[in-house]
This record gives sequence, structure tokens and C-alpha cells, in this order.
Amino acid sequence: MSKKVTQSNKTYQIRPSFKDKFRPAEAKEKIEKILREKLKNAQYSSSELPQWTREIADQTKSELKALGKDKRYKYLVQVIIGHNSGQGVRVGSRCFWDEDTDDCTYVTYMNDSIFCLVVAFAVYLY
Amino acid sequence: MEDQGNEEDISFPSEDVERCVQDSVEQVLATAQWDEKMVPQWINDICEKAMKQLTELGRPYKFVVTCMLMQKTQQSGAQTVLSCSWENQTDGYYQIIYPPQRAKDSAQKTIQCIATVFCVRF
Repeated sequence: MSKKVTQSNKTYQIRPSFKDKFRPAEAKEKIEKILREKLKNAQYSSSELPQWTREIADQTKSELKALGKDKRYKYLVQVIIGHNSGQGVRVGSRCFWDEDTDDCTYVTYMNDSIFCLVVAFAVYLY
Repeated sequence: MEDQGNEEDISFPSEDVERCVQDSVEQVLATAQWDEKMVPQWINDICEKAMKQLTELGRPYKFVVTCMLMQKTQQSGAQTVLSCSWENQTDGYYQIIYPPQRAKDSAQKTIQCIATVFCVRF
């Protein structure tokens, strides 16, 4: 009589594999494309602005998920659109995360009447 | 063996986060007038102060703090939208607009600040 012995190796994934790691450059290209399509020749209009920002944010988030990186990534997207009327604007950010797995990218777009900033963060869940 | 600490840590710590961000923004901007050269310094101060307090909370969270400072003029207007793919129960964000919309007699008449903190559990 033989006893069946099964050995299981418990492996917990605590890092994305190299090919599934979030690459800021790829994401930046996709976001630039979205902005070019949506905001080409756009003029500031306070009624349409909320809708544009929402669409850009949702589309960016879907594109990031469609990049096919490791499924354990969480994505955070912030879109700021404002009136380009010569006022001063500055945006800064600080992140407390794991340098090895997490990253961010940003894209700015400006024309005569609006400025737009999209910041995307990808954070890994262990 | 008893796990006593685990149950308290599951929900998103919204009040603590609120307090950290509000304190740092008010400290830096309470008496400030728009000055192009000081703006980078203010953004650094706000983000770093907030981050320091957030990390001292000792929660198993990763934090991302963004701060936007805009000069208030007759025509300046801006819209900000967040879109996040995360876990609703454990992750969240807090956004502060300073000065608050309803405070008509606020001392801060030249600077508009929007600070956002994302908290992602790991």
C-alpha cells in the first residue's frame, strides 16, 4: 500500500513580476492620447467643465486597468482642469509608499483658455 | 492567542486623516498672501507636515498627498475630479478646500488651496 503524500509550497506574491510592473512611460503615452482627443481646441465653459473632467478621469482609470499590469495594483487618478487666465497655479505631491513597486506619472495640457493636469498613481497591494 | 489590534484597523481612519491635513494647511496658509516665489515652499511645507503626521498614526496605510495652490483672481476657476480603483472598505481619500467655500470673511483672500490625501491599505 502506498500512501499518497502531497507537498504544497505556499507562495505569497509580495512583488509584481518584472513584466507586470507598472511602467510610468506607457501610462503617460495613453494619458496624453486621451487628453489630445478630449481637449483639442477646447474652450473654457463652466457648465461643460465638470463633465469633461469626469470623463477624462474615468477614461484614464479604464486605460490604466487595461494596460494589463499585475492585478494587485490599485490606481488613483486625479484630474484638475482650470481656466487659463494668467493666474498662478502650482501642484505638488508627496507619496509614502514602496519605491520598488509603486509609481506615478503626470501629464499636463495647456491651450489659450484652459490648463489640464492629470496625475495617475499606481499602488501595489501585498 | 488573541488578535486584539486587528479589528480596529480595518476601517479607513477618516477623522485622523482629516485632522492631519487640516492642521498642516491652516498652519502654512493662515496668514499668507500670494507670492510666486514662496509657493513651492508652501507646497513642500504642507505636504511634508501632513505626511509626517499621517505616518505617525502608525496605520498599515500608504499615503499620497497632493496639494494645489491657485491664485484667486476674478476669473480663476478650476475643477478637480478623482477616479480610483481600490477597495471601498479599507481605502479612502480626504479632500480639503481652503478657505472653505462658505467663509466669506476669511482672511485668506488671495490663495485657493485644494489638498487631497489618498489612503491605500497594504
